[in-house]
Amino acid sequence: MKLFDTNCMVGKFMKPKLGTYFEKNSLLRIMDRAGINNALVYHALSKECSPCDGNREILESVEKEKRLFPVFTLVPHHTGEVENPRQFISKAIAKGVRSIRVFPSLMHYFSLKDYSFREALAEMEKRKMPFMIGAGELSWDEIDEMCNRHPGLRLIVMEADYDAARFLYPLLKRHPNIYIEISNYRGHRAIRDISERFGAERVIFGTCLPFYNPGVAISLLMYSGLRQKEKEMIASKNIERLIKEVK
Amino acid sequence: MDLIDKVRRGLSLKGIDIIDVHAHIGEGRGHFIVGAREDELIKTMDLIGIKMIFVSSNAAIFADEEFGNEIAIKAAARYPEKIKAYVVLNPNYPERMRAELEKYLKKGNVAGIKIHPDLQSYPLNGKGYEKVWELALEYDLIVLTHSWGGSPYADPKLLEAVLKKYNGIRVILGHAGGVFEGFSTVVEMLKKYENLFIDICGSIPNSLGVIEYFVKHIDNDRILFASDMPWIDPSALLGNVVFADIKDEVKFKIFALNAKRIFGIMLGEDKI
Repeated sequence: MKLFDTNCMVGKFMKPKLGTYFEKNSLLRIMDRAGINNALVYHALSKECSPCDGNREILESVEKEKRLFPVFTLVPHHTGEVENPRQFISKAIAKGVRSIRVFPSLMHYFSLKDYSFREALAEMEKRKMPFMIGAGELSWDEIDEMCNRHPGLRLIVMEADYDAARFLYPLLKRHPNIYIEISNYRGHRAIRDISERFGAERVIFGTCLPFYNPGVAISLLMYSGLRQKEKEMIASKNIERLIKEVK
Repeated sequence: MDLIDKVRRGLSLKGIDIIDVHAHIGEGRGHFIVGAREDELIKTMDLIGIKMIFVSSNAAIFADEEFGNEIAIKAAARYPEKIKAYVVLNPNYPERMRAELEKYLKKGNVAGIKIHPDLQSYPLNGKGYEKVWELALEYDLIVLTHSWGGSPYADPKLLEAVLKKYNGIRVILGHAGGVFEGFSTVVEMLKKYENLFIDICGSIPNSLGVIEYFVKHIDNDRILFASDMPWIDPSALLGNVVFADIKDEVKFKIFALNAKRIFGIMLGEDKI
């Protein structure tokens, strides 16, 4: 079964833990061992320092690596740090970027409300660009509010924890364009329950390398109790479809 | 086909013994759990190939240990070959501990004693837990304790005084100290005290390199497989061990050989 990992990072970061790495080649070795075919990858600098530097670094990192696809990070354009969203996203797509991830609360301190981020969200909505945000970056109420304002936005909630169900379920019901990435969604039969209630098309494979053992997510998927077709959707077909539909 | 291949294909590992020494049963506080009761836990065990789980009741650790212990013991009585129950003892009611434990020892299917210093809001080295250590020695029971580095209640360091005072006590540090900052303390303690063990369930132990770290630094005969099911699906922890960069013989020790020896368990296929 093909595995497309939507949640990988490369690049040196401030506080390495026990088994973590930062080189691209280490990521590729781990992917080979685990049987992961492709990965969406962002750069540690994008998260811990400057999105502009990080975006440039990730393009360099994944250049010539057919298995790795760059993820860009974005901040609001009003300060002039980045171009206006229309230009930014057009150029990103031209460079092969098919997903954008933000760190508004824990790292880059900005709002996703309309006064700050409307143009960026609207452009991602229009271009069908998958928009990734870590579960700890926004409250669930804020996610609901954002998706109300931008119903076409393809939001992938990354690293939602096993205690998220009471928030997630009504959100998934209410907003058909919210997806959930599984690296941290480890509750008993949690992946199967979400898939059965809301459709396996809403669930996306990710490992959170270099932080988690990739065997965790692989095993969660393979022993989810879902049918083969649904596992394949989660493993790779869902993200491939989303990437393909970027305009 | 090697273990990684089998997991990549989602094949049952029923040819390998797997014993989960730290699981739970029943609904709890804080969030929705899918399939928290024994019938559903058994289905998951059969899907993956886990032979036996040791459970404490969520109701017992969150609220009323007497109400909750009944749930765990009844589950163990229904599936004695597959489920054993920890009796949760509450340091806030030390005077009730003996009766509570002895009630269940008579019924059988008891895995040991479970305590949760963080949820019970009581320090491991506190007076309220003294009866736990005394009873554990008296009945030769293993104590599984939640452990968490930095916690004023559950930091593994707090156990040191207990281990010195109650010679021979056998304790499993649930979650192996829980956080990165706790791991080095755990390693030092396991080097010092031979009746101390760790289980590898929890969020942080899922992190890259953690299993390898413990295998490298402590006696491999004292690492136990655990999932914290149903808070966490056991497949996550299974993958964590299978994909760890360690020898298969060590994986088998972690999966069941250590638990069998420590708890004195024989599974169906074991020869006397």
